[in-house]
Amino acid sequence: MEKLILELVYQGRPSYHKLSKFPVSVGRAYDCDVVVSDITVSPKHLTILETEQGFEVCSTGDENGTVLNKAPLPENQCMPVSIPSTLELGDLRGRLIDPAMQVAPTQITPKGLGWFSFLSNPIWAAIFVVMTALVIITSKYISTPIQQQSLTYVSALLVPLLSMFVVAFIIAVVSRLTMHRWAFIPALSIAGLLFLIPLLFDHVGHFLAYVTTSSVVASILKNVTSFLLLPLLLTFYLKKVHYTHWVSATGIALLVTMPVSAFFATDLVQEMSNSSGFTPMPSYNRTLSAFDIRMKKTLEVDAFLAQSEIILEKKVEQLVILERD
Amino acid sequence: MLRYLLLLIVSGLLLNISQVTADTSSIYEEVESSVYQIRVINIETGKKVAIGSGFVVQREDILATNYHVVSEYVNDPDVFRLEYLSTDGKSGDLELLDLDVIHDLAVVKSSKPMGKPLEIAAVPDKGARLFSLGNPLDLGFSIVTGTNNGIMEQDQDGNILFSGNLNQGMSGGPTLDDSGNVVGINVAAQGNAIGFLVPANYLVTILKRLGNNGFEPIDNRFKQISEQLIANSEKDIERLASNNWGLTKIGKLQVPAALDKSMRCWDLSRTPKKDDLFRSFLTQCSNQNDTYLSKNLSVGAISYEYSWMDTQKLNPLRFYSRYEKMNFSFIESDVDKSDVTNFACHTGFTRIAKQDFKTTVCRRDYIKYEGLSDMLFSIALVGHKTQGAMFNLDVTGTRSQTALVLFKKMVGAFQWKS
Repeated sequence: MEKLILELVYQGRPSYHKLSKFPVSVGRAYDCDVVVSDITVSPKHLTILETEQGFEVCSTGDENGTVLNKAPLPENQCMPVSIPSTLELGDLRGRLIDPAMQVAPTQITPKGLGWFSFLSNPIWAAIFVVMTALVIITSKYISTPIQQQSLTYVSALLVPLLSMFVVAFIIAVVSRLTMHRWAFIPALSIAGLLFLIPLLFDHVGHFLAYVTTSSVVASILKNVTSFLLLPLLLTFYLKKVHYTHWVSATGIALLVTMPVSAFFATDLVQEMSNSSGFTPMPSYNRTLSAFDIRMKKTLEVDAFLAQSEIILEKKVEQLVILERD
Repeated sequence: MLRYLLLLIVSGLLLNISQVTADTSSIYEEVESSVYQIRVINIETGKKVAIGSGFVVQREDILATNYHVVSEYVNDPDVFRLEYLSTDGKSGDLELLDLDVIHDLAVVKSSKPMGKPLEIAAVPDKGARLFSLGNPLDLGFSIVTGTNNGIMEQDQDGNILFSGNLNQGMSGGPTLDDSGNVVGINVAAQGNAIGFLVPANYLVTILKRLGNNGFEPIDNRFKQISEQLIANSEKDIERLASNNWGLTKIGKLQVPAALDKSMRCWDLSRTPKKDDLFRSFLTQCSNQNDTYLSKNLSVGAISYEYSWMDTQKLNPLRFYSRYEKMNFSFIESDVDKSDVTNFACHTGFTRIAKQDFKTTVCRRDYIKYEGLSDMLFSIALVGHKTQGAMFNLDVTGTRSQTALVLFKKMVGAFQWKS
């Protein structure tokens, strides 16, 4: 019957050694009771003893030393330890744990392929991919009011679809390396959403720009896709596929997407500095919509001009003050 | 007998030619000392940036020239100064007294007497001989003979058409009649022997105004310019608004045709192709009126365009994607940050000719010229699935209310014929 568990974390993954007979020697030498492969650990690094009061840890290697509960363990000395305790053998981290210690509750994986587990259900992945393809083809068809060959649409489709599969593949490979299992379907769902949502937001933004006669909603949606979409999708993926805790999932997602966000931030700053500078071009809401659904009512010309006169007088006054200063 | 008669005719011709030569040279001698080269000098480098001509008028210390000759000095008196150079090489400083940007005139003053003032006379009959003086291309003082072709009615703001070779550098010089009186001021040239003169009566107006003020320089030149531009724009727009425009058809819309004889209209529609899925038409009109303010700034332009687009083959989504791309408007000019503010715009929907239009009004103000604005109007038909119409109107160098009147009157005349 084991009395103590030694947990050692190699490359982020813990391994557990059940200790029942004492003393237990730990080190790189092959005659140790627990053989560790970390190169920063001494051949005979430490010994764990059982005493009447409990357990003691004795330092037997002096090369990189041992840290016990964040305090260095003096060379060739023994110290009583409470359980649980943390250990550092050179760069190798570990813990001494009571075998009776409670483990974290089980992460229940979704049973079967429910409709709403859209990350793991291949049908959803297929829907996202097909929808992206349809939206791309429709946009291309709508935006080119001339007769075109069907090959044009295929060529418009190839690059985004290929990129989508590359992104899915990269996500899947990273998962394989860290989790040692393939998760291609969830990776494809994430990549599908990553391409589909900006396209949909673009159309929704345009539609709402006409409805509200203002580009505010469109620019909010644009910034959401630039800055929030990728971190959100990754957080969701880490949580659902890697079972990472929400906080660490968010942290990892933010860290990983930092270069992309930095790129969009530079873009945004550039755009802001451009729009605050001088331009001879008038900037106004140019959107037109075949549906003609809008919040602004139709006014008589006189009423509209009277309204414009007051509004423009105020706006221009501010611009003039800005320039004459 | 016949021989004598022939001799008489020949000698008569010779006499006539010698008479002309005598006229030209005597006129030149008479007025030479009253005509000067006017130069704008960069204070720092002491080198000239612009040259023109000028002449003594009304008082011995007062010269008249073109506004465009001295515009650099008027706009940046801290950077440039104004100088005269006489035919015998004497030079000295000048200061601005008053100006008229609409007719491109400026009156400047010297601290010394400059010679005998030239007299001003009315424009003689069409066909009369005129003598134009100045310093073409900085080559030396010259006199050019030409013919008076009368006052232009529509374009060029009532300038005199002068058939003679005016050149750069002669701007601001006087054009004289047979008796040596000033009838016009050289202002512009266009191609072979086509020149334009400002009628001297506009100079009389400035001189009268100056006389009433004891020949004191104007306090605020930019305010003065701005008032002149606004008054001119109001006059122009009032004239346009009072005309009977007549209607012209574009698609299903009946719209005002040329607002005035001075408007030049062009069709700029794309040439239809066999496999087109939609039709589109575009016509554009603009006045020929540009008031020069500085090298890159002219105002007073009024231009408008109508466009129509429809389809029987495109679905509404595809049609609107194309229609939306046509929905833009801007004013062509070289203005920069130091001239105007950015545009401020207001967009809404209005009822014109019983149809709904997405309507935008934009305004930007001039920074130096208080009360002066550029106005841009743009309307686009909405609510029709496969038909689109646009109307853009720009007015530069105006008062915002004045341009609103024109826009209101124009869209008020729109009619929908289904």
